[in-house]
Amino acid sequence: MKAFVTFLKIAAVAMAAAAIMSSCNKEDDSAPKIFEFDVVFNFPLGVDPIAGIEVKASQSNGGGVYESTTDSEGVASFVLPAGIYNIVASGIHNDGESLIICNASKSGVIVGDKMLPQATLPMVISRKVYSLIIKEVYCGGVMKDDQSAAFNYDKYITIYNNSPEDYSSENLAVTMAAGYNAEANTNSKLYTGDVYNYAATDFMPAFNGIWYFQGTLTIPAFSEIVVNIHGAIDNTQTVSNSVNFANADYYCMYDPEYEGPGTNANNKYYNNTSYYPAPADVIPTSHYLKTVKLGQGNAWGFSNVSPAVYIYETQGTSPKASAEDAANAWMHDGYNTAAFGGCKVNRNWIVDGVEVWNSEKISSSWKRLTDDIDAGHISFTSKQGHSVYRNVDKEATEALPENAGKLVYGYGEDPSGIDAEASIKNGAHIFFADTNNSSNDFHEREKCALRAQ
Amino acid sequence: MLKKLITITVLLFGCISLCAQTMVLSGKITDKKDGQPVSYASVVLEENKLWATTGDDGSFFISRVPYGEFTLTVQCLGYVGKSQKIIVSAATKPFNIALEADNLTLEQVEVVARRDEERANTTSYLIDRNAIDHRQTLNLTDISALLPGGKTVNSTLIDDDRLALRSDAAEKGNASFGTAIEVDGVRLDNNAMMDETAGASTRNLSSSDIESVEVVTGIPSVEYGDLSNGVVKINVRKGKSPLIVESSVNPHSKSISVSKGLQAGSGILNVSAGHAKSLSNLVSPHTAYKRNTLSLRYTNTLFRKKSPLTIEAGLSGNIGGYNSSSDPDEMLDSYERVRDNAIRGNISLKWLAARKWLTNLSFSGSFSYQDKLTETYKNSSSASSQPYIHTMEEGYFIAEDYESNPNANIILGPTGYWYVRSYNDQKPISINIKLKGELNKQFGKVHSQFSLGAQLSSSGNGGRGLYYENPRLAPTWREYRYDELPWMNNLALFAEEKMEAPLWEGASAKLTAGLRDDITIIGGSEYGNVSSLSPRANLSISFWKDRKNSLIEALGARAGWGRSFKLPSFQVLYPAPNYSDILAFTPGSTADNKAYYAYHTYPSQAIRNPGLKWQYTDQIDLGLEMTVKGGTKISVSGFYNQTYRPYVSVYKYTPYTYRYTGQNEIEGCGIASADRRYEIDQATGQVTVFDRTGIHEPVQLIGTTRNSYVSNRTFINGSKVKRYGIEWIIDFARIKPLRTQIRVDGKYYAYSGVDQTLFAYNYGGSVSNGGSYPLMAYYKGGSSTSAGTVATAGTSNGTESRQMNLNATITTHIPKIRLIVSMRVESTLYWYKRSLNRLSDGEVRAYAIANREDSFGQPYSESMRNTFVAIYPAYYSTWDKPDELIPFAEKFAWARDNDQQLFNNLSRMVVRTNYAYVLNPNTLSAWFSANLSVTKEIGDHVSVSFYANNFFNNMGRVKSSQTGLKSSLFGSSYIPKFYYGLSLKIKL
Repeated sequence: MKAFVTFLKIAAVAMAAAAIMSSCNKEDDSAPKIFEFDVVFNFPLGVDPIAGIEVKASQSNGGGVYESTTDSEGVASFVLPAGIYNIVASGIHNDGESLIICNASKSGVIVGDKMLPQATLPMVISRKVYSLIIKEVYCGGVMKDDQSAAFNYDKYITIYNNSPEDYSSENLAVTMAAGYNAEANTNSKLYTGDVYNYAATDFMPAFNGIWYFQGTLTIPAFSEIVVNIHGAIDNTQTVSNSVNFANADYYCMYDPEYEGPGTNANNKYYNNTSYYPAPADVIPTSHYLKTVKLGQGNAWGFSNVSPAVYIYETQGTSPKASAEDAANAWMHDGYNTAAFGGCKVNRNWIVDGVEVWNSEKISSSWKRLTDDIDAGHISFTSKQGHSVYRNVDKEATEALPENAGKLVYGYGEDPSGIDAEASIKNGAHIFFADTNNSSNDFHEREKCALRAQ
Repeated sequence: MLKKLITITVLLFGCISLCAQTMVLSGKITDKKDGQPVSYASVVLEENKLWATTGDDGSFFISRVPYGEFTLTVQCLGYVGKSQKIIVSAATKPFNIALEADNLTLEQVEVVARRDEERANTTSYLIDRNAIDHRQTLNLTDISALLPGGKTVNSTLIDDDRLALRSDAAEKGNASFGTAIEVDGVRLDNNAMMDETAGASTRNLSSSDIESVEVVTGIPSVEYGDLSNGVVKINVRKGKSPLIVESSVNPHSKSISVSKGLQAGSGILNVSAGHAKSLSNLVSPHTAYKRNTLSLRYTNTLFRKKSPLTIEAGLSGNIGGYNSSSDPDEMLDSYERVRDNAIRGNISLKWLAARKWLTNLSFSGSFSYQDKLTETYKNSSSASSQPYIHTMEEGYFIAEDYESNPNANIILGPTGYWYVRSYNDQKPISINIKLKGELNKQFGKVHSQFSLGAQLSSSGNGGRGLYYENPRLAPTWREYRYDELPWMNNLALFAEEKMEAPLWEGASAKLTAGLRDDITIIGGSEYGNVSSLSPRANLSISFWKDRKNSLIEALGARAGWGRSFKLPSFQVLYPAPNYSDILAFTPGSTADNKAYYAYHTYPSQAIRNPGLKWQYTDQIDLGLEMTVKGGTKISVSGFYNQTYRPYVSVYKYTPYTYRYTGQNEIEGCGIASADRRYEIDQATGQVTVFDRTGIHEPVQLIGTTRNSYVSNRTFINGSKVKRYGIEWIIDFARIKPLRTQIRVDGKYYAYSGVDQTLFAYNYGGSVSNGGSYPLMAYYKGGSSTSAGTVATAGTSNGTESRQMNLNATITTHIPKIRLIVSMRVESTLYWYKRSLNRLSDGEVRAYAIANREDSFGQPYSESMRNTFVAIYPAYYSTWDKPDELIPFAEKFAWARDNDQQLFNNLSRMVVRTNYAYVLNPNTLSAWFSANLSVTKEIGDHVSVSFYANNFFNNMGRVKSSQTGLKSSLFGSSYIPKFYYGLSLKIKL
């Protein structure tokens, strides 16, 4: 195998050299030189190098994208024209006990004369069994019927049990990372140079407030719950393209009682009746998520354009007790007012997270979730009724014998081609992709799943 | 007090020497160029204030002039004023004085502010029409750039900046509110505006109507009250003048005005009209501020030859304001219109009695009425029926359908789409009457001028406050009518003595001493009557003048001390009532998205603080004037001002209990959702669910009891604010071959404002116990710099700052070609600012902590650098014992080891700095910008001016010592953006 790779390298170099030689003349001496370049991945102690991890080297100027895979020593070899590259590695390895999810990224890698012919990246590893995931995030709203503005009081996420086992917990909570929008300049306060301030810690900030389920939450295998974030009513009566949340099965964030930071009744409670109309009376109050309000304001500031949402399950304590513990108090870097309060969440408790970026502001967006939670991001366009939605893990899904004849294909928005919603209606069990990298795991839907129904 | 004043008056009048020989002084004033008589020129003998006005033939007569030496001053619109020494004796013949027309053919033209050293013996500056034209001032506020060390701003009417003397932005002490502005004797009174405690807006004044501006930054005469930071006196055009058409344009604004002074019977009528418009955004040239001004002023002098009586009457106004209605960028038809209409009238009579017991008697009366109505028309929509709370009673109320009860305390708003129109109606009104008598006497070589006067002023607001066009669509709102608030009346009595006496050969002294008593009368309020005494005195000595052989040809010095009170604004006097509405019942939304919420309303009537004292400033003003050999003039002024009891606002909290009932209690009631009807007990908050079908018995819900606080804003007096500084002007002798004059002016200004008021601040919530026993924190000192902004817990309780600005103006004036070019380089050589945590009682307010999230550390000292700091409240209290203040620091340390829940709660009260550098001193490196102005007269009829601000378009950077970072001057507040403008003036 190695000999074959070496042969390929030599052939590639020869072809590239020939191409360069043939194109070189006095009028054109600017053709890029070609270099052999190795990307060496350092695996954590106790994990042997994994072969077959896909590695992409993309030119930062938007030029070519080059692909390779790691060998058994954890090295991906490239033949690259001189330039500046962003290196991203992502892959899953099944060691028989669990899925080992590998992610790594590094930007600004220079390939050229007098540069080292290799780059070294730490490989971020997480072991996962397929479990709870955030299947869909709908946050951008839709234009009002009078076209005056976007209607944003209809946000939701869908939490999906991505396993053949029932899920049950008393301590599941939903929150978001700081800051509110990925593209906000103020996110620079969360960084020191290019390094996220919390990358090396054992916690992830939870911003403004956390929401937890009451009692024991059970989600059967391959099932989901819809969690309304704002506006748990039938919004379609006024905004025809919005979502009807008047559904007894749905959950919703609603807790106008909890008194948090603030100076008066208008900012101490999550009591803004536009964001939080009393939930439709068909939704049982046991489906209300309770809050620990940590920032000043009358509504949880879930972004319309680019949230970083995650779910977590506390161990040895409750979400409420953990969020209220002074030892876990956290304030957005660079701020000192109550509007920017939050708390620390143990990173090991985090079950899943999604980093959503505004499609119009990708170049100015900041990562808020660390690579072990989400090594990528998913682009999103707001105000159009779109949502971000998990890709189907085609191989795993098709491998389930009970899915025979139930899967619906031909759905172009999902790379797998499988229409998950239609297949679920058909009784299929869907495994969604869960590599902790939303760049690979998500796609943008033109119509959120609840409207599609 | 009144008795004292009367006694002093009688004594002074009784002591007067009544013996003196007199004569009738006469003469003629003519135009130097053509010898034509100049009518309506004022002629004044400065020492005894005897005066006359010239007639159509240019002649004047002043009766009862005693023999002696006097300074005769002549002034007339369109001419350069003239002063000359005269000796009055039996042999004195009529004087013929020729005046020069004021234009650029003159050798000396001022386009900068100059010290008003002749008339005032305190620090004051005079800015005349040439300077205003040369700078193309659009808004009066812009003239502060002309003061020593001033900074140029780009003129626009969109910004409603307020003038504030001897102060800087973001400082405590309400400096703009304390800066008085008078237009032709009419005070621009901003006391009755409800939503601000700030100086008067000057946007609606036409700058083309201004003849000159006198800026008194030192100790003003006791004739002026209701101020604490100096007075700006605007003199408008009065007298015969040709038809003047002025027009100016800059990227955002354009203006045009017409004025003329014409004969009206035996008097003069000055008429002027102007239009100005500024756009907020060049890209979308729709949202604009417009000004349409008209002013009429009539002047006449009766009994000109014996005891002249001058009558002046003025009426001026503006129709205009801000309007965004035609902006297609605004969504749908939404808009906002803010009226800025004003009408001001005044009448004044000045009679030269020239009696032994009375020299001059003057009376003035004025009124001002402004219409500041804001109209908002806004696109609205809602998917759910929103609760519109209108209750003004205490208790629990439940939402009702508007259709079933339009007058319900809470109505359910509509769902769908609609427009809502609202008005905020403000109509500040002020009335002013003043009577002043003046007696001038000579005691040997001492000139004495004694004034005694009384002034009555009233401020009120005739506005309706906020209201909605359609009650069906009125969201949560309560009526608060401004026109029902008591007026604030102020009666002032003042007496002032001005004496001028020779000291030794060539030396003389001027002393002004006065006392003013402001008796503020606010009927029907807790404030009642408040008396405020303002003593003020200025002494100036001219050591010598005209020592041609000496290095210092002339030398003078002055010193003054004064106290001045600023009456409170209506915002301070009458804070709006606060209604605390807390959700008390949250039934689930019905199938048509209706939720019949109930709220507990706690109306907190405005806390009018009966202990509120009027804010005042003690000013010390020093000055030195000298003329150096060769003609260089140096003027230096120093000041030390302390503002006491500045108006500040804080929250007052009251513990209270309410009952909350949620949807969870309804779920089990057995009545179908569609059949439910709710009632709530106003007193107890208990909710009863009724079955519309009558099948089920009513169900009483229990609810849970919750404790919280209601907050209400009140105004109190804050800690003193200190300002001091030095201002200087050096006018170098004119370089005649180059026809160029260089001025270097500047200022060193220092400020220190540290608040130590103990105030309650609810950090919000109480963890772990569900808010059952929330705590209240008490901090010492807030960081707010505006009376209207409520003090909150911050990482500092004040700031100190210092800065030194140095400006150099090079003016080249070529009379032959009637051209004047000036370049002004404005620099800031030193700029320092630091946030402080200081308490004078030695208590520790802040602790230096190792990490940002720490709670404990070492007491912070100002010598520390680059450290995070945790600010503790001084005390906290519990809900059930709100008056028991528990020292915070000790209990916090104890709770850490002994009571986790208390520790969690107290931790929330600790405020931390966001960066380690926050409390570092901040010094910025020096910066500059340069401005160019050119004025060219084309013959006697046309004048063109051009200016370019920051014409180098400085892209430099300044370095901050606080952070070590550099920031760009481009787009910063340090220098104006590159900007330019052109104006044209035609005299016909």
